[in-house]
Amino acid sequence: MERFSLKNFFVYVVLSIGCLIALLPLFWMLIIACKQQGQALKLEFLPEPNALTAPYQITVGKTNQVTLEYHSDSAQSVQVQTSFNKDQLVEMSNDNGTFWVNFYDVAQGEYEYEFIIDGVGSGIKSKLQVATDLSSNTKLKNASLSKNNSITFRFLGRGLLPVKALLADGREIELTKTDSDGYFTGQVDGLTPGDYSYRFSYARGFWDGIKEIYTYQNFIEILFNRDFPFLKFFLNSLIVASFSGIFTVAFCTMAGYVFAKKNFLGKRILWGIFLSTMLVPGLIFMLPQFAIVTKLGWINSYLGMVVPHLGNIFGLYLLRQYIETIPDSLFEAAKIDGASEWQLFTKVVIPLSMPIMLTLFLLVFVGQWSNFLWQYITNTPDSAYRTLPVGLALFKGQYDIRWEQMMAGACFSIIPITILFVIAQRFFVQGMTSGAVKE
Amino acid sequence: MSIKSNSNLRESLVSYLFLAPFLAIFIIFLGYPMIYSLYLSFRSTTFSTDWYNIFGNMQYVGLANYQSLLTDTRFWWSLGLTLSYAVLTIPASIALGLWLAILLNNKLKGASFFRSAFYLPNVLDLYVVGTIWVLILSPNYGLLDILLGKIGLHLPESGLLANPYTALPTIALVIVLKGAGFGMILFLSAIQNISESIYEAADIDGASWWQKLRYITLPLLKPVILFMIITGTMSALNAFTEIYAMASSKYGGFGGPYIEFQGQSVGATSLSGLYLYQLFERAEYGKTAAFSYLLMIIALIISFLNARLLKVEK
Repeated sequence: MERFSLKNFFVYVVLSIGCLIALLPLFWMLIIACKQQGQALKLEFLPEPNALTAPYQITVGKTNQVTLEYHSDSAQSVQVQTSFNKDQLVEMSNDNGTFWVNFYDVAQGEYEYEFIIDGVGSGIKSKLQVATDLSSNTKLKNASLSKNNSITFRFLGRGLLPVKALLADGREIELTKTDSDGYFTGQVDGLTPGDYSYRFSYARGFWDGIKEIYTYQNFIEILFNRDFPFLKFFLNSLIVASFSGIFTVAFCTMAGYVFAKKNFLGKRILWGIFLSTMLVPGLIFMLPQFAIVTKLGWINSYLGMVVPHLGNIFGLYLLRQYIETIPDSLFEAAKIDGASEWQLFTKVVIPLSMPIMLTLFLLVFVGQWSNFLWQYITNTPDSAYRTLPVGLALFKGQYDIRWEQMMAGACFSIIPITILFVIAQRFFVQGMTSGAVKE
Repeated sequence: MSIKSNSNLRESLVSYLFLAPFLAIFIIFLGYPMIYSLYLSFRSTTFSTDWYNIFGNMQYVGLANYQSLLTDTRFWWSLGLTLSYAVLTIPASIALGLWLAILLNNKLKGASFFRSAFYLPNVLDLYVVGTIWVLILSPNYGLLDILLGKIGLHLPESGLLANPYTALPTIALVIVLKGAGFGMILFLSAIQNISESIYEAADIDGASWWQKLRYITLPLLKPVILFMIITGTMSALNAFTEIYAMASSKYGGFGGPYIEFQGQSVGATSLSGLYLYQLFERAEYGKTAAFSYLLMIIALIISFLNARLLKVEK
């Protein structure tokens, strides 16, 4: 136990801040991945008790303005067809998933309208009464009507008071609940003609607020996305990384054993050749390996991603170093007991080398899990064998970036490795230090 | 004599049986590519190349690939940029790793937590982490810009990654942060191997904290520092994924935002790895092979110099 000291306190502060910066991508990925569409890029983590809608525009002075509004998280574009507009298609403005449009000089009467979402009609003709009141229906959420010198606000709320309409000039109009459909209405009179901007302010409970900011839906959507099925990517990554790990460990252990304990023709030359390959940057092998894999017909296959990396020199070096520390007497004792060469390997080498084999497996697993470039070039964009980083790169290449979905995709790469690391970090650290310090 | 050579022969045979899988992979995917790459570097794809058998149907062009590379501004630019990337990342990684190791060596409670936390980013997918940083560093809506906004500052309109002068240093910073745990672990285990008695002797001689660091710790850590220089050089020569994730086509060109260099428009983050990939992507396989060979020669020269440096130290 040590005493509290100012120096230690300072060290803790520095380390904590450093930690926060180092792990920032992790936190940020998680937060964004859980956000609703349109919320991803806002710096709002806990809901405010009074929420504000996006601003709306309305013009006073023109007779009879109608604002139509449609909410959709997935729609790219929404158009509306109204009978007072002779059924012409009108494009609606998009404000983070809230689509809206204003119509002016709408004559009194009853009209019909229909929303067309991404070019497909909703099939629901809704009724709208202008001049007397705005009709209610499920698709129409918030709607306002300007008539003569007054505005009538209509807001569809969850029933928590107060609900207010905030005009840009600072005026606040209390809305009261008027009908059973859940609409709050209020009116402001005596306005001078001109454009007015307003937002609705409404009270909400904490969990309602959380639900408006966060969702788990991103994960579901990305897992089963039609063009970018991350569940498939995840399984592909798992297969590629696991098989790379298993076979690399098997080959390196066998080779490491003979380099550590046997004398054979050409041992020194071979070792020299192996080690000098370690001095060559791996990128240089990209083209010829690609050519070989192409010739073998291994493009778009697990084989193409796994096999070229099984000759792991670093792994061989690691295993040789480790097996050299196994006392020769153990081998001699086993030989006297009549063990065959293969039995020496399976009964002596493998059980005693387990820790380093596990270390190598983890290092290779993590390495191949993240081997972006090779997996990127050995898969065509429509391949069924795309892995996580490749899938994410292709997802990112889309015209419209959905950050919350992209971060949900990132989670499938980052979280399993984080868990693996937390469980087995002793082996990770051992591999690194035993590889370096003995140079 | 004959018995001995017989048993030697037998041992060799057994050894090669054990070695066979590794050796087979090595020969096919590491040994043969070296020769094949050299062969390809004297050839070139042409208009008449059969695209279903590209590699078997390339024209012999002699040294043309090497010649065109050595006279290519972008080739030299990419090498220069790789060097500056190494200069940006290696000293900073060493300094940060050493600093963290010294802090953690204070035998604090919870040191193992901090050690894991700093080391964790090291094992995470580079492409994915790079992508997350793109989001954090984005102008207008990125976390950094929003936080800076709170104290009245703002990132330049283009953001850090789309500005040719800040793109590479920013990527280098992200990589140094991500890799900090690597150096930390190496330094930490090396520091803990230094015998306490040396420090005690220094204490008796009245050495200051700085003197102990300068004259005891650092000299004993030299092997680790050299190891980090070697691995750092390798990473700079291999650098591709982080650049591709953080400075690719969304912001200007393939190799990051464009910049003027000797009358040529070049990518401000177009490191040798990026340029190599660019040649590869354009199916200029002969040139790619020649580039690979030139890079290998450079790598071997650097390794040779490093080895000399190591020898001098010893």
